[in-house]
Amino acid sequence: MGTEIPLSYYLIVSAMLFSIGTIAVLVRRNALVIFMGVEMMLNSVNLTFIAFAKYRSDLDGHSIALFVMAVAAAEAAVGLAIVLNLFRHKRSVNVDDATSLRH
Amino acid sequence: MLIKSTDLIALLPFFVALVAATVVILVDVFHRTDKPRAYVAHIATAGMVLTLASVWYMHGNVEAGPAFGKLIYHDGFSTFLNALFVLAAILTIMVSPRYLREHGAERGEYYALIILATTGMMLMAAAGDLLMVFLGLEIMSIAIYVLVGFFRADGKSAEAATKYFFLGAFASAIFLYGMALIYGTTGGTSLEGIAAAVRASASSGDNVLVHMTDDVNATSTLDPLFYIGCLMLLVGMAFKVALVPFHMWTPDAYTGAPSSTVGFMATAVKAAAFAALIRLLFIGLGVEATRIDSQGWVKMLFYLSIITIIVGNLMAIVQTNVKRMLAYSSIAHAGYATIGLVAAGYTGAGAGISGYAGASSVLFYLLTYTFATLGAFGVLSYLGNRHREVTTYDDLSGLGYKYPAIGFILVVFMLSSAGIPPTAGFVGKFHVFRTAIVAGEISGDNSFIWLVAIAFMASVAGAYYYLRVVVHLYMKESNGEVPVLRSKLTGFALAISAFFTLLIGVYPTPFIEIASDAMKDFQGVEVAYGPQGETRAAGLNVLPEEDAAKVEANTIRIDPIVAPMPDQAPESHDGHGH
Amino acid sequence: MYEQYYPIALVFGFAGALVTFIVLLSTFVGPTKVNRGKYKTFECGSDPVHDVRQRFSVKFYVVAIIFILFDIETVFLYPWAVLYKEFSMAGLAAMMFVEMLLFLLVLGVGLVYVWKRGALEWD
Repeated sequence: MGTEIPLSYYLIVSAMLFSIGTIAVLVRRNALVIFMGVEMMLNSVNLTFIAFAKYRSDLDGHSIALFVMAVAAAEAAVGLAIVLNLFRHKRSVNVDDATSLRH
Repeated sequence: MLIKSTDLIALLPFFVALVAATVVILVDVFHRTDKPRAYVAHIATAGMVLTLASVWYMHGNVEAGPAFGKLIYHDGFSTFLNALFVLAAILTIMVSPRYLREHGAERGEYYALIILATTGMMLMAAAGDLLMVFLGLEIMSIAIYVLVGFFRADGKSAEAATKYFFLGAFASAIFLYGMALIYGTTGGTSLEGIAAAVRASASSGDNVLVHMTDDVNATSTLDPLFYIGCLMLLVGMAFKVALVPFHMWTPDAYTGAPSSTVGFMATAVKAAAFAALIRLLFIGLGVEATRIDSQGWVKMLFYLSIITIIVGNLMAIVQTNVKRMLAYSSIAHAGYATIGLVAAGYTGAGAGISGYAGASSVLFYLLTYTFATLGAFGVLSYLGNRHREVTTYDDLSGLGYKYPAIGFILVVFMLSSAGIPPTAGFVGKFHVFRTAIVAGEISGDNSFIWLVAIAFMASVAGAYYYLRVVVHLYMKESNGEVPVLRSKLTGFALAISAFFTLLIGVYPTPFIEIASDAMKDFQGVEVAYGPQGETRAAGLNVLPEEDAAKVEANTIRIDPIVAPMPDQAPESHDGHGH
Repeated sequence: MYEQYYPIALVFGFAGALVTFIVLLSTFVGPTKVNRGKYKTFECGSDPVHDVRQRFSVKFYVVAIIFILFDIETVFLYPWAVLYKEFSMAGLAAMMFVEMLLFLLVLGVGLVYVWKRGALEWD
């Protein structure tokens, strides 16, 4: 087997991925990039689950990751449709152009 | 944790709702002609009525207990909330058809999505596992995202959907990361398992929570990752409930979304989020260490509720758009309900009215709030048509004389939202505030008096913007013609809401009893709280141990409406359902 | 020691044989009329060389999303398939089978919906 990669490595990587996703959501103004940020957050969570599951030799984490993937796919489908609909109205996917609700 | 086939009965309401949604989708998709498709709404209503019947059947015939190895619970709590969700869904479906047709969006998917969202909510109320909370949350949220953007031809609807989607998905991801950290530190996602792990670590000093070093044998007291996980769970739920630092999406989403959808979002979605919060906080994080210690959730929610109430009311005052005003008011209402949660969490399971009954005040508040808010948004969807939208206060001017019935109904909803007797909103607020005061008396803690005082003053200030609606309805000159959608079904739904708002206002006792019964066989807490019930408070102040007698006295003395709750924790239900 | 890899070898062998068979079959049996169009690169109907910033038809998006959804949902079949034997030993085979049928039924309803709404029609 050789030396195993310690759990903390996985956790640090996934925390970094999660942070990058969070920053993308908070900073970027392009709807599609924000969307990718959210997906990145979800995938970093998957990595966390799998790492913990491996560490604990427990299958729950694996099955949760499957659920998360399915949910993320459903969310992606709805999210892309919503962004596309916004594009049809504004001819832009920049969320700063979506200001018609402010007074 | 092997699944038994007898567990399947616990899925009955979900199954009925799922079949209803499927039938609605199929019927609609095979409907080829351009004839009015009002009958799709009737099928959806029938499906929801059947779901309500199945909830009722479960209540009468299936003993409370866990199912599927404690993935879900069936108890009075889930029954009460399921009934509330389904009721809200029925009223929403009844309000919608004419409104949707007017705006050229009469499609059967609307009803199917409402039913699917309701299914997700029911799962949240029944959840005994973080994974189930998450799945329920997503089933509900994804359906609601679509419902918000349902007016595809309307740019505002598209914009609202985008904002709601991004913040909703962001919140879900945060919730999920919290869930992953808790899974890692406690070894599971079952709510009872989390509580057991925390108890074990708190009582033994050296603990079962694995510290995140690479040495398997290393231990420490509660791992910081666990607290970060809890915090992220709370933040994720606070987004859904719209507590104040996490409320930014609410006004925009509510303003742009179809009015009929907004009524559903503001009531049922919020109630579902509160249901999941109660499950999560009382079962999973119900142990002292995570509840009332210095890092516990009671303290955090205490401050969140204060700023939510203040900001919600102040922002509502300055709005000119009625929908936006109602959005901020719904934020404030979430703050009031949170007070009940804080009071219940403060004293724990065993302490009479402020224990379980504290949570029942939240349930009762949600009930009163649901009728008034659903009704108010229903009226907004009833007024105006596709050419002339009713959005500002000025648009409402003089409508009270032109349409006396609808004016009266709107006044009832506004009075209830403002908490003025004789409406349901008054009783609901009174019940929550009293719960908080009792919690304060038990603990001898003045901060609860302050909390209630702030909430009371904020609600007096809040009366301004509700009564402004009434003033515009009856004391301003009408400016221009305002059409209404003459729909008997919508009118009927509004009348039902107004009737219940008044009925609960003048005759609240049975409804309060239903709400407190709902908390009687609350599942999963015997592990979390222990048989004797913890009443010690360490986070905000310390409850002297000898005050048990005082607790008892308070329960009886300050409680003219409700019978006191039994003080012992509920009996163990371990005998079945594993 | 390597016995456990026999099934995989079997799969590889079968797949290789099948591909070879089909290719040979179409070579020998199919009509061979050569024209210009047939020598173009075969890739999703788009030209092999062009500006990267080209816009795709929105039709691709609908099909892609539907594909992703149905593709991902099948992920639940794998744990079910792995655990089926264990459950059938516990006498729950019928229940597990019906559960998966229900799941597939829901997916089927989704397919019917997509189909009837015209999302699969290319033109």
